[in-house]
Amino acid sequence: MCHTDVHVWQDGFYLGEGKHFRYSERPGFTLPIIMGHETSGTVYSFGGDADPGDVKVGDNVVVYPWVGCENCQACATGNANYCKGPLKYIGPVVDGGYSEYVSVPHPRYLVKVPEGLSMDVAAVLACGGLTAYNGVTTVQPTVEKLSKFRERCTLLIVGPGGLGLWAVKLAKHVLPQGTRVVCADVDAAKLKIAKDNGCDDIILWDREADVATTVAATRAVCTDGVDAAIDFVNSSKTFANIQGCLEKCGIHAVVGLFGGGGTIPLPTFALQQKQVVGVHVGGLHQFRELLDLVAHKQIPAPPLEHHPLEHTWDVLQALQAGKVEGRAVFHMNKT
Amino acid sequence: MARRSMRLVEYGKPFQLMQEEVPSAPKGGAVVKNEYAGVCHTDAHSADDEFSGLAPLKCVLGHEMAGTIVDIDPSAELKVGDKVIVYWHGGCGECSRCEVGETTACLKDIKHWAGITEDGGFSDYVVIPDAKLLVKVPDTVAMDAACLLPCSGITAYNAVCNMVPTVQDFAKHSADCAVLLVGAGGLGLWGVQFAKQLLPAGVRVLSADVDEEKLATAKAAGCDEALLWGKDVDDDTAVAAAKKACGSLGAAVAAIDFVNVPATFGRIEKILVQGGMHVVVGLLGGDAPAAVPLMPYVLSRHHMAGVLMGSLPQLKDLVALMAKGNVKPPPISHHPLENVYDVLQDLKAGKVKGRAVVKL
Repeated sequence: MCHTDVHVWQDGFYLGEGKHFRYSERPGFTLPIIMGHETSGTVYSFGGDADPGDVKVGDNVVVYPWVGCENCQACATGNANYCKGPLKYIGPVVDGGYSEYVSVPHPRYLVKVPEGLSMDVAAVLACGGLTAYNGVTTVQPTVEKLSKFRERCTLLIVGPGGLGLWAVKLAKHVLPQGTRVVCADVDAAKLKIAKDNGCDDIILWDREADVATTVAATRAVCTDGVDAAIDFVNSSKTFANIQGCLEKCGIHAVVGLFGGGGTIPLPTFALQQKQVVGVHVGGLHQFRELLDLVAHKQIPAPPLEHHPLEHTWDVLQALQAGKVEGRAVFHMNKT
Repeated sequence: MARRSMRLVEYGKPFQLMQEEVPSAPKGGAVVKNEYAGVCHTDAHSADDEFSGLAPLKCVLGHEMAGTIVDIDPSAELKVGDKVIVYWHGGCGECSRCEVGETTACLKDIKHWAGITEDGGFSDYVVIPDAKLLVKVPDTVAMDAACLLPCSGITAYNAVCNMVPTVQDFAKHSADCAVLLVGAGGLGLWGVQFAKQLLPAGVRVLSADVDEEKLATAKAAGCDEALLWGKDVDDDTAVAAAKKACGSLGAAVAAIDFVNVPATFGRIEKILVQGGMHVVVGLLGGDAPAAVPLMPYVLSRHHMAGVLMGSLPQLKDLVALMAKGNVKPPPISHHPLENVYDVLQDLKAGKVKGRAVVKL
């Protein structure tokens, strides 16, 4: 279960400036819908004449849910993230994983779970893990470049929750050796978990403090400055805090769907040569890379709480209230 | 050597013409006899003290210089008589960034900016403390065009280079890509030419401006379509027309904002495709900040990158590109040194078509 499920249930997001995005207004979206877009299981049957590639009935697979229109060149070549729509995401738009069986439109979206990777971990990689991986690989070229000129670079991860914790671990494997990973959050308990999961340092941000104070406090911990930041919260406040901390030539990846608006002083942005990049899930080939990386390096998953399928509603409420530590997954068909 | 210099003596007031002696080349440096000096909008910002004292009083402005070396440290690679342009954006010269010519990212944040923090090109001679910042001009490149390369040329070139990976990626999946360049002024006109040279063949270049005459120069520079964004055109109409001009994708795969005010920033964001690249260049924005709606920014997977100038190695690449003879410079008008302040006022008022240079 992912925080996006909370947004689907609430029919959308606040976009800032009084505007809303509504799932109910998406073409093809109707209720009732089975949610759940992080799904792993065994292949039960194939239909139609699509080529299953190397996937066979009985194989352990995880579903890549970011399916496009299935009717354009981008989709046909496994590049559904370039699809102009209508999007058919499995879980948020068409029926998904909170069920004993799920239907997938084409075998290309089934990815075999590598040896050494457990099925619950494989499932959570499809959304949270993939998005976190995309965030880290997005800042990677800039960090690699800056590492040539600095003794070490600093990556600031804002919001070490379900996605941020993956980013902490993946950063350690993907970014240049010695890159310092620092986590910021308003919740001390979450920061403790982040430290236990391998980040080099933590900063407790005060919800009430103004940007200048927060920037000063952050710079006191990130003494070399912040070269890259990934914002898994992405609210007006976190955006402003990061822009205030970011060094010249730094990169700011925005991931979270909290809502609100940021502001950018334009000439300064040009003079400082900063970057801001929107990161949203990731491509199919990236998903395969990620599964192989996690399996090969035996990267431990953040804490996973297991729940029976019947408890999805209660867990959704707990997630909305910020009471889930790490990630919640539902099990079914277990023998 | 005696020289005329136009010095900034009071912010917001005309320069003063002085007659002075010029020292010989400092150790490691050179003296260049200027032939042409470009007049850049940044000079207006300096002269009006919009950079809060960055350009000090008594400074000779003008940072786009082309001329001949008349004196140089004997150990330097270049020689007296060589025709050169000046990479004006010097840093500390010693850190690992400066060593590879990436002075815009100088680790000590030290500025030796000829024409901004220290004397520059609105003068018969200029002293350049670091001879490594001089770049030889090939015979096939005219000196008035050459002087524009170290600022407007290289900034536009760097901006286009920033678009290339995104455009190449989209061009693999779509035969019908378009890029949008906002601002058909001193940089935008270079941008049109570099886009045509550096982007995959067949990518269409759209140019947008508030001024019809400027758009005519953009068309002459080779853009495929001109978009008039006058004051009487409302945002929705402008966005719809731009998207239509982008062809079957209905959106631009990349854009460069050479104006960079909140209105152009917001408009580009609406025209840009999902996964598109927005290069932020212009310094006209003043204090008003642009709004970034955060959630849509994530879902649209947009990328924005601020571009300032370019590196010294990039300038050398650019000179090599110019030497091939396929890049057409913007229209260039020549002016005597005595008129430089008036030219600057015309530039501020948007009255300069193409580029104005001082002929010395």
